[in-house]
Amino acid sequence: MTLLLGFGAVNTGNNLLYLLVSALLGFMAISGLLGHWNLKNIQVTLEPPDEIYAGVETLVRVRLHNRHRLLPVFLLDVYFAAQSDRTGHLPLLKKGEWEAVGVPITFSARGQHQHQQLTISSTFPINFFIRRRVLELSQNIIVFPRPLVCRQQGSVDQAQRAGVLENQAKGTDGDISSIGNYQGSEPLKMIHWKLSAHHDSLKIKELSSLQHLPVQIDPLTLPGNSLEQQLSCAAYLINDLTRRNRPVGLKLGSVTIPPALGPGHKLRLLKELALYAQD
Amino acid sequence: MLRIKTLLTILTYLVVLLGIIPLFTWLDAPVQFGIVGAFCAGLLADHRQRYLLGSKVATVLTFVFFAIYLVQLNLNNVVAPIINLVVLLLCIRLVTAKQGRHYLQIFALALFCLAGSSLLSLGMLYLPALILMIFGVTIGLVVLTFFHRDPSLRLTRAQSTSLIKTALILPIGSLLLMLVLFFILPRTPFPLWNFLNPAASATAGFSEQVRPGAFASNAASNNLAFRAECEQMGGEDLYWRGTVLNSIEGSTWKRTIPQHEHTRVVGGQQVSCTITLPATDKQFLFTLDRPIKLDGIRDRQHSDQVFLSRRPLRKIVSYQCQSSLGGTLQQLSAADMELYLDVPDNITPRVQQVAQQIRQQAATLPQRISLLEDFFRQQQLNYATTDLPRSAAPIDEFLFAKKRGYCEFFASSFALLLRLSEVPARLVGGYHGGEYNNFGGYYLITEDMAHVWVEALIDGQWQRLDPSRLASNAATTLIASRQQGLSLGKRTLDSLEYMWTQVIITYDFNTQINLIRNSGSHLKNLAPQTTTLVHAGLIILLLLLSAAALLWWRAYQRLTPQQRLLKRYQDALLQRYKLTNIPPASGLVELALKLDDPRCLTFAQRYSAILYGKRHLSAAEYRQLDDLITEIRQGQDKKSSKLF
Repeated sequence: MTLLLGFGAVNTGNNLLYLLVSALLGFMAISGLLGHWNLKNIQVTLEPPDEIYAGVETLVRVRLHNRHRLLPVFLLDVYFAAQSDRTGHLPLLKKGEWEAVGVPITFSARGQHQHQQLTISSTFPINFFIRRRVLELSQNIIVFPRPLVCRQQGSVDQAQRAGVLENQAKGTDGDISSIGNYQGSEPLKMIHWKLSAHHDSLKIKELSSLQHLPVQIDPLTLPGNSLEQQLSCAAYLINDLTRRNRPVGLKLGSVTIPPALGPGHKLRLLKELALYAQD
Repeated sequence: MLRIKTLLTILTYLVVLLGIIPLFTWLDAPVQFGIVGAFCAGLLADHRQRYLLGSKVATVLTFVFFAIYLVQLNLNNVVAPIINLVVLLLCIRLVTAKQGRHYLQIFALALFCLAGSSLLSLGMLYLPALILMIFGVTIGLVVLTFFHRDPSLRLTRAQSTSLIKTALILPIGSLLLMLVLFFILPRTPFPLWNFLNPAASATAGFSEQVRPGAFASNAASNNLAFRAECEQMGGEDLYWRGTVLNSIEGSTWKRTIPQHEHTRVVGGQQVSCTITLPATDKQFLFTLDRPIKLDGIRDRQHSDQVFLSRRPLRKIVSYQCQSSLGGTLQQLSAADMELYLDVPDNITPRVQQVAQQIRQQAATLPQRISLLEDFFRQQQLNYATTDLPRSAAPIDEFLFAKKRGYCEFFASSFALLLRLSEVPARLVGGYHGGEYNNFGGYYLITEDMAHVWVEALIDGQWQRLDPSRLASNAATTLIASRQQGLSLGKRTLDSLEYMWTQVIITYDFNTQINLIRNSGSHLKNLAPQTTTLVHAGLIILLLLLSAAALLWWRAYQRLTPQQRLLKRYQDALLQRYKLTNIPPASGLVELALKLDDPRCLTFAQRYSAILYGKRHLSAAEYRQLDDLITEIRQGQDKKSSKLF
């Protein structure tokens, strides 16, 4: 349109058309500048979730900081390289403020990922062009092997055969295994009121745990055509067994981690799997 | 909450209004009705979300309108059909359902409408319409971007304010750049499509012929004839020369181009003025009597000091005129006495008798002129523009019966009697008077100031005679009416229009070239004025610093003493430890531990104690924390225990 009007202005010598064309050219320049500013001075940090598995889409929190002193930024689309169809969107980020947006990402392989390429794009101020800014972020993200279902009885048996430790811990959901004295820290529902009535002190029911037998996993003995499949199978088992509240341990090469429970322990096991044979 | 669609709708209809208003009067009547109806219907339809036209009907109508107006298109009629067509397309778009691209089409069509209006009128009203249009379209496009993203988007008051504030950068920046780009965009000396520009209008007051008795009344408009930028002069000097009418046929005075004559202006006071002529269908270049030469325009000069443009004056032109006030026009070669003494055959006996008496009573030409002036005074002639003589012998009727007429009657009868008295004479057509505008420093000459006077050849010199001044009521009608003085409002408006014409309308290829040429010499001239530049620079710097200080102080005042301390502390950390930023989520103690600086830890603990203790910061505490920050900034290794 500007070209057409410019052509008309030159050929008619009409200065009013020249004014309009000048204003439109000015608008193009300023909109370009504004679009450039819109993507400038944005600081980005990644907040990955605790568990990221290869080949599984994960939502990474991307924290954006608008470092402009005067201007807010608008209509930001954030995505990781080559995944422009999976974006996180932020309509407005005020000057000097931080905001987080969830951006889907899929890592293709397990291991340490040191560098991430993040793209911030925006159509602001006008929808004619999409401006992009590619950021190279250096942040260590550990990607666990992709969990592959390997529920064959053989693999579980193999894992179980390796599990030799018996869990002696008292539980809260099994049968009564013994009677003990109330120490003050037990839940009130554990108090055996009838028995306490016959004694001077409060007695509690000591219950056995419903927890399964611990399992020690040796991925290299698990079924699979390759190491990656074996590690994937191990990742699946660790997740599955932990979910069932079953202590899991790991024996991988020279590393042996005794079975235990808890999210921290699970992450430790998965990390070992992720980094195995990566050097 | 503000719906983004509501904001977009408001801006869209505003832009449509701004596109239509400048050209509304030029549209065909049905199109005028159409656009008013479409505007109202569109508003209603957008409100109800029920539209009059479906897309298929709209497409058919578009083709029909194209067919109707393209048939009318020809080289003599290009602009009107196209503009009517564009407005009709806008009508269709207004009454149909709108998605993102449709709003974009409306913006584009409205801009084309405004552009089209520039081919119909060069009026100054275009400028406010353009400025508002740029505001509307640019902010509209930003809003449209949000609408495109999510049509149901709603913005909070703070968000919409923030958006509008940022979007305002676009129109303001665009208009500032427009001021620069307008002067540097390339221009061509001979625009090929010049015929598309607004057609020149015929002047109502000034005429190439003088025919007394042709009209019962003369009601010239007060339309602009031209403007002349010069110093203020006396009213008696304001004779603006246009043409010379030297031959008479019946009662009509016409121009015959004098051949083989040579003249020269001698004496008098030289003055220079810049004359700006609006587009006209004539080629006369008006000058302050008596003109010597013109600059800044390609002209053709005749020996009787008539200047003509070599090109049609289809657009506004501006040129410089050198004149001699009070100078005399000397006839250097023999004048064509047959031409200047020629009289028609149908002169009434009464007129002939007057001339005969003058010839008999006076021997010299000056005496005859004097006698003729006496005769005019004795006749008690009135200067009037109504109830004019209209008989077959208008001069006779003017002099002896009605005794009223305007300058054409006075001048033609005076010149005729001069010729009958054997005094060579001719008529000069132009303008007399002018309203001086102090703001712009120019004379405004309007069509109702059109005037005709007489020149008589006496002793080889053409002498100016204005018989209209011999009217019995000349002081009250002729002179006073031409120097009424403009009101303040009119003067201001006219100054603006003059500036608009001078700066924008008349800017062309030649002006651009001159600007480039002169810019070099202007830059050279700047060199000796370094002191002035330094002073100006210092003032600007001072103003900028003051503004920055004021902004900083306002921002600083918004913070509580605790917030100020924290900000200073964070700044100190950034400086001391070369940090790029401090994430807002990071705790003070956590940060201090990371930095492994006991002073930071002290600050963090002390500050947290005050903050979470929900008590006010005492002056002593403030000072202590402030000292600690200073130490952190300077990197001094003092033990924190010394402070607390």
